[in-house]
Amino acid sequence: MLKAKKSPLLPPLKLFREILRAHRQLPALQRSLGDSYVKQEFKLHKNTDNPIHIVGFLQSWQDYLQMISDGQWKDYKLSKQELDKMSPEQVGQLYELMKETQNF
Amino acid sequence: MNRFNHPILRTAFSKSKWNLSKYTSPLFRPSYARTMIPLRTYSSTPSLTKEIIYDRIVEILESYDNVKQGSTISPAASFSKDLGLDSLDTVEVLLELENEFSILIPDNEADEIKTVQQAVDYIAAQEDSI
Repeated sequence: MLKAKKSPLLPPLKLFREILRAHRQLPALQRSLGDSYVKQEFKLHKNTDNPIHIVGFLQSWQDYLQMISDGQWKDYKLSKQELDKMSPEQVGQLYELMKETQNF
Repeated sequence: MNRFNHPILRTAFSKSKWNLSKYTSPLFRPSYARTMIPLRTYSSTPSLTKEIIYDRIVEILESYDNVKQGSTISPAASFSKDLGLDSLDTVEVLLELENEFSILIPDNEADEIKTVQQAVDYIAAQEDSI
């Protein structure tokens, strides 16, 4: 992930396009989930004008793009740090999500 | 192109058990040869006309939820002004067109496609669109 952080930020539309293109190589189920999620997220944040939020948003999605493109997504694990940064609600939501995915 | 002069067919005939070489002059071509299509000719698949391209684009736009209700899709329609699509929607539509026609639109060219007609012209100009 360190290496991805050093690469310059892509402009939003290019990033969006690259993510949707990268999703084409995913299995159908993951692809449709990923497509609708990324579309929704970009829609929700398109009017954000706080530069810090924009950079954070673009950086996270660029890391995500990296993870999809080189296949790391399959065995990606949340680090302790990432987990510690989450609010109790977010952890709860993640747990719900985990339970939900076990139905597939 | 006269289909009997096509290189693939010429090879096919010269190798076939019917030696048709004496019929190369149109005058001597027997009627059965004119109706016979001996092999799958990739060069003669119906060509992708602008009408077909337009119809397929319209179909994609009609099934796309973000197109503004009540807007009319026409060749001159602009994705943003007439169909109410924002820049993200336009990216989605162009990616959908990439899928539909099996092409890849480079970013700088995609940025220039702003109307339905421009999309039709772009796709028609790509030799590998299907």
